[in-house]
Amino acid sequence: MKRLVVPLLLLAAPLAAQEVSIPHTTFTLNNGLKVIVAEDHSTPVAAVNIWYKVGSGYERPGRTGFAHLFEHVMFMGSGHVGTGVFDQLLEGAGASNNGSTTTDRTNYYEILPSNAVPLALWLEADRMGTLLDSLTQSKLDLQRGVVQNERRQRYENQPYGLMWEIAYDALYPAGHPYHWTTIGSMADLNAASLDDVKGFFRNYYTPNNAVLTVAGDVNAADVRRWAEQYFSWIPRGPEVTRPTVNVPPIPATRYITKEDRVTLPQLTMVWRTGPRFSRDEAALTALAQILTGGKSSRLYKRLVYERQVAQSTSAFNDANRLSGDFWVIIRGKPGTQLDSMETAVLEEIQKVAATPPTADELRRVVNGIETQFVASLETVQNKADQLNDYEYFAGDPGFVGRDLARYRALTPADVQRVAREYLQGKNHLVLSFVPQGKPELAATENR
Amino acid sequence: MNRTRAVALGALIAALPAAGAAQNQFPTTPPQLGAAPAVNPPVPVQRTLANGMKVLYVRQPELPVVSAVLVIRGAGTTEDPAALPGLASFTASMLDEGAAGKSSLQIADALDLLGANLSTSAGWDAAQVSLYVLKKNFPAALGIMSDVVLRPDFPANEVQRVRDERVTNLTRARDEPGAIAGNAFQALVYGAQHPYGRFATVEATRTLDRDRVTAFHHAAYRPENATLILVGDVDAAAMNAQVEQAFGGWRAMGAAPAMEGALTAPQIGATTIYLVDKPGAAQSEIRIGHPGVARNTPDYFALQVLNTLLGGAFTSRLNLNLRETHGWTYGARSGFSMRQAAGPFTAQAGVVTAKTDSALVEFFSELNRIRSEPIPADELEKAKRYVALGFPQDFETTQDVAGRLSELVTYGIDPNFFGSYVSRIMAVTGDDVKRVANQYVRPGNSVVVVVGDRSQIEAGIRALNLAPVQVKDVGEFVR
Repeated sequence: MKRLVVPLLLLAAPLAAQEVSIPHTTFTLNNGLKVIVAEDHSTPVAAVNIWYKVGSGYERPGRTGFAHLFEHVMFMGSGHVGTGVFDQLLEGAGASNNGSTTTDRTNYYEILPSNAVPLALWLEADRMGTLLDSLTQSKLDLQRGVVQNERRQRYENQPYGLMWEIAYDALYPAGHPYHWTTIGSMADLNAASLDDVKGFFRNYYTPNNAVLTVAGDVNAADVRRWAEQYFSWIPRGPEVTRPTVNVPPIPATRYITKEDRVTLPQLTMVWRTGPRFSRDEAALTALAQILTGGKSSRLYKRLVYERQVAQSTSAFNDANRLSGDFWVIIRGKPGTQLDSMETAVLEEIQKVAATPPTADELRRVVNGIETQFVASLETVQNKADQLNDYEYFAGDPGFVGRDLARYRALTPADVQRVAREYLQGKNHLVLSFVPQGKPELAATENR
Repeated sequence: MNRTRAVALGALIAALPAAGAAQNQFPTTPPQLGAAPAVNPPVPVQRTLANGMKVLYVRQPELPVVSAVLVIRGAGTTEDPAALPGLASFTASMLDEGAAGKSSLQIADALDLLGANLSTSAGWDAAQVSLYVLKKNFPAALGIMSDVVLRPDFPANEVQRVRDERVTNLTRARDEPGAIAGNAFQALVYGAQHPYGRFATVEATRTLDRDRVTAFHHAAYRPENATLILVGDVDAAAMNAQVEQAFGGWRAMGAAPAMEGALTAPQIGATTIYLVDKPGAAQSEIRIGHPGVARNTPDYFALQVLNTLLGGAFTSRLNLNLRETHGWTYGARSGFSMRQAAGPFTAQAGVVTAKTDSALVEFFSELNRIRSEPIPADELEKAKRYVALGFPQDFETTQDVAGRLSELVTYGIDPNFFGSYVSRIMAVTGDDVKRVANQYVRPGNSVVVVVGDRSQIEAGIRALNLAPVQVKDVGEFVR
């Protein structure tokens, strides 16, 4: 939530920078488990948040979706926690909990009244140490069914829901860890076996492949005592080999058309950029905002506000451990030719590449980002997750101040440069979602 | 929560099996927990401007931010004319599209430059204008907030643009099974004669114009109905002059018009299943329910516990049955939408097409069981503790606090409501739950909506002989 260090003198000056930091301490157990503690006593709540450095990018061929299926199995009980008891104990203590899986990591968290922190730590330790003791085929089968329904609900039964799957398939070659999505395919989910669960657990769900963060109304000394008591007996696991793929550039601009049960045609364009916290990430995020981040942003103003040929625009730089991608998504009004949307996107990129954005444009973006930085520190769960995020991707849990500084240091010329370096004239993906029976609305190579 | 209550709750938690462990030896039972922390729900400082507008200040100075929510009672969707559903929502959305002589883009740019987020919306019973901004930029942003509320220009070209966007959104709603199910459910439960049964249509939206919006704004947006909630690094003594300057010029219009007479919820006869065809759907979207209860119900706390048992949490019965026992869904839940009048009780899930009929059986089994069988004591305690001990999380962020207070303001509920919340939850008994279950959950008098692939599910649903089945066209509910 809130422990943000604000030098009051600076606050008074309108142009002064808002300082942000998340005060914390760290220690590492003998088995390699790193622990981060951020005290914040402003509300009697706390978050326990554990990251395992494994995600769908670590799956093997024929087992797409497995890291996420495994995440579901983690809630089914462990050596000293019966089936269903994990959630019963936490809810009975006033806690909510969840987990999530990305290409690079899997997190688990509990948000709870601060007296219940030991319970969450004990439950996390029990599943880190003894998950396999109570694993059964029926638990795996049950969560397989749940995950397949998650796929139906969030992807197959949603308009444009298969956009990610189609895009990643095209953006990354077979064998690349980002070639598939975290939800995986139905066939691969069906193939997942108990042996897969056991192997994955032994390789990746180890103290030396995890970072535990506790943020909120706790004392660091207490957390240390609990962490030692609950986690230190768990044996260190094998060293994890992380994917180190040389990310190939997109070999050629490619057009894909998908007919879907949709009313509005949608254009998605994707370019290759760089990994999390690489040199140009902040400038690319700012460029995305300058294109679609407010009513005066270039693409929104042109397509939605003035010409009114599009219903919505969005752009973002999605940067992950191995690489990043710059996405532009335009949803047209009914019957809109996506060729014309594509032309507009390319023209607006060309304009930024030719002439830097105005100082005002950039200032609006950076000021909005500054507010976001402060807002994100309002909850203990966000703080805990950010500490883990910085630890994993930036190698320093205390990176938040430098993270914001990257945005403050941006110049219009930086934005212009990244438009040239990553987008203008570069190979990319053009994915058209069109209503069934209307392939003629798609953007195509030979028009 | 006071200290006595905190100790009592702690004793409940301590009933968990005791951990017996030496240092660094993993205990095989969960740890005993200390007393739950005391909770001090915010007590706002209240001011009233000369024009009747109320201002609530809640000081949470940990971060240099201000969350502001202006609640305008009686400017919500319930006030829509029967022939013009969407007018209140459209009016709210038009507020920042030009005001005090500044254009839509000028307003947006000024807010962006301040790093401020401003949003406008209409709920059932109130309109809301929300602002989130760093404290250093609060005075300037507050001025813009007052412009959009007091002096909107509703430029004709912007009215037309936003109206066209709404028409487009309505035409795409048929792509979304969840949106279809939501519209169908409220229409079939309440009917077109009740505000809760109406939904925006393309035809009605096309008739929205500047005159309608201006008239609605003039009638419904008045200081006597408005409360500004300010949470964060705020101080009534220091800020009241700023607020007075921003909103003092809002002209009082005399007493607000009396709210319409109490809305009467329709009686639902015998349960009927309505099947809406969505060819090729991967799942069936199920909604089951009927009119529920108004926000001012004396049974509020018993209903919170009831719904937590039934479908308000992960370990609730509906989710454990349909997801964790059968694996037919990603999640099943239930809820009471409490409004000025009785909003719906809804139980819902998206289920795999092949198990649609079986899922309906399980839904009805749970809806009946919670009425007929005693609630096991441990299950009841778990539900109560989940609600009571989780209560502090509702007040973590400045926006959380503003949101919880806006609910009290909208329904005219005593600001001390939160002070007794925990003790009143913990006082709910199994008999209370059983009584409200029988009163407010009525599986025999429900509307059941299923949006799915008719060719795959109709035969199975009919074979259940659960209730009569009617097939409805999707065009009845998204049009």
